[in-house]
Amino acid sequence: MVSPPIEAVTLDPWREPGIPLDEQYRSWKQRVKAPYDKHDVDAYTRTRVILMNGVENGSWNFSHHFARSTDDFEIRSLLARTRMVDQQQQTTINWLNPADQTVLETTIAYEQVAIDLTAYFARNEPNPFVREAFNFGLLEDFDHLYRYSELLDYLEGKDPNSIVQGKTEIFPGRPTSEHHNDPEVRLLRHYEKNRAHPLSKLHTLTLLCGETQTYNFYKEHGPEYGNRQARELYAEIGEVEEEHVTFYESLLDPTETLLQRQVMHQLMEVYNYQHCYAHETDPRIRLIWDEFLHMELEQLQLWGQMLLRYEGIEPEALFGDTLTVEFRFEENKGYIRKVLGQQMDLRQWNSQWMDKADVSGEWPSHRYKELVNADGIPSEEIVDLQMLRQDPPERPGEELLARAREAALEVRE
Amino acid sequence: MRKEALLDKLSEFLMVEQCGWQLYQVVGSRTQDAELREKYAEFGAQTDRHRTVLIQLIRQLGGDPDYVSPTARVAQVKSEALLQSALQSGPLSDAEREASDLENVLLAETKDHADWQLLSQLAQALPKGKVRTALEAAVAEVEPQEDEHLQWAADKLAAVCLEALTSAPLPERGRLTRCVIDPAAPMKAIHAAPVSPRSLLETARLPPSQETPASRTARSAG
Ligand SMILES: [Fe+2]
Ligand SMILES: [Fe+2]
Ligand SMILES: [Fe+2]
Ligand SMILES: [Fe+2]
Ligand SMILES: [Fe+2]
Repeated sequence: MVSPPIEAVTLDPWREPGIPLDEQYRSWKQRVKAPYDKHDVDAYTRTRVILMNGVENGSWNFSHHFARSTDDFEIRSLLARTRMVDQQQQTTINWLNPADQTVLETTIAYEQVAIDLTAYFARNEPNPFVREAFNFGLLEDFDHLYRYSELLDYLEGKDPNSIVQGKTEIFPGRPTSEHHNDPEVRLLRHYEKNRAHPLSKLHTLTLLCGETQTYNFYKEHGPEYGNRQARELYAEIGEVEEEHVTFYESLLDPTETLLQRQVMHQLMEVYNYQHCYAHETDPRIRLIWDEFLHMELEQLQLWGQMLLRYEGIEPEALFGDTLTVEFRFEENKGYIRKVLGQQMDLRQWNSQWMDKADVSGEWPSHRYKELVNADGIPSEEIVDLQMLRQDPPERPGEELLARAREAALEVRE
Repeated sequence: MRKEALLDKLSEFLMVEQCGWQLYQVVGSRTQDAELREKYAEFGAQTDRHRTVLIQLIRQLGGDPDYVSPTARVAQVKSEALLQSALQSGPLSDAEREASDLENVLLAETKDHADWQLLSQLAQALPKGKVRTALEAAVAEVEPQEDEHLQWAADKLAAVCLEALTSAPLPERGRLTRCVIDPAAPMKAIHAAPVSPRSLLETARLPPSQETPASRTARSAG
């Protein structure tokens, strides 16, 4: 592997002291903090905020699912209490986004999260099959970033680089018009819980939380636009995010028990707060990551004890004695170009990847794609609309976008 | 003998011992009864030893004890389902919960017992040789213990249940209040669709336009 040396942090998540659970609730005023300034926030501070909002929402959501499936008062009580904290943390985090950051600007940042998260995970994923799944999804979110960038230029006249700050490239990937699959096609073989490296589980669950949040965000905000082009593009890419949720969740071992999943969620929160804390450049926000990391350590340990009591299994046996966190938000341009060069034309079927030229006529997605793309493809129409513009590029970033546009037209079928 | 098939089976048996050991840890830490606690600790320790015996056996046959065969995965799911039943036992009284844990032990030991019986039969059927010797040694050590585990669990469960049915104080009816059901609804009426040996019961076939049994009960109760 040719990744640069990384300062990894190793901690003992089962013993590292945290904040006692009954000291974790916060007042309204403590909870809602001043937002970051969109003009001078570091792009990766913004991606951390977006990611952790998704992580908290994911844990919150699962906790409700668990609560609906158990009759044990002690478990329901601990679920209710840890979930209340998750919910408060989510408020603090999501409220860091400033009011003057438009939905579309935030959308650009969502795709940046997806890209740099997935790319890093793919680079470091121990399981080769899971890694290929990540690579496959990566090229799709990579293309979403480009399509939304066109929309940002079209609707708001803004340079997408003001959001991604040159850290993530804006260029077509596997075209969005090709992401529309028969739902069954997206289903993958799952990892085996007894054999999978804990890192594979953490990668998968983190991505799953990110994709679910992205889905919710697009579905929530798409209808707020009056512009038809925007409404349709959000509808189209929103559906692809649904496919991504289906895709990544099919990697989870279905024999993981609810308690095991609960511990996994907690460990995943610790993992992610740890890298946020380690790499945050904004000292004010770093304090938040620090505090939340220590809340999660306590929650993790409480749930680890539950696992031991109810299933007789020490959490260490499932997830290892120590947790090494080496993830960080960083540029993955070289890696993504490489994957783009090799895998742009891949398609998926029966848990396998194949070149689109080798896909048989039986492939169920042919029909599905024809159906949804029958009367126009919003992610292509936005490119056409932008082509029609007469004015020569003058704002920064317009030239870049013009070049991306040519590439998008070239690969059009 | 098909060695690969045997290794798959041994992986399954090892998983059963592993989950059995987990079960003893859980029920042992939960029980309020000194006699049960002692037995759970004793059988738990023996089950721990059975794991080791199987791991050695797998190694002797050239297998990898870390390998989890497909049937082992399903065995794990079944065993974990026993443990998961605790997640649904909210309305049980303490005594009922004890009995439920004991019943889980009986179910787990039934499978465990059958596994070792099979190994014993296999050993007898094999030609003399290294595999047979290894199997015989393992069976000689473990099988008598499995007989005892199963017999004890069956006898003890019967005794506990008999006591509950004859002399023990009735569990408090209020323990059901965590389930929202119709007050004092007759058992037959709230079970709208239990499955009889032949098909659904008559009440389950009511056309949807009619009043459901549950709403009828609610009306007559109110
Ligand atoms: Fe949380
Ligand atoms: Fe996306
Ligand atoms: Fe996505
Ligand atoms: Fe045993
Ligand atoms: Fe046994």
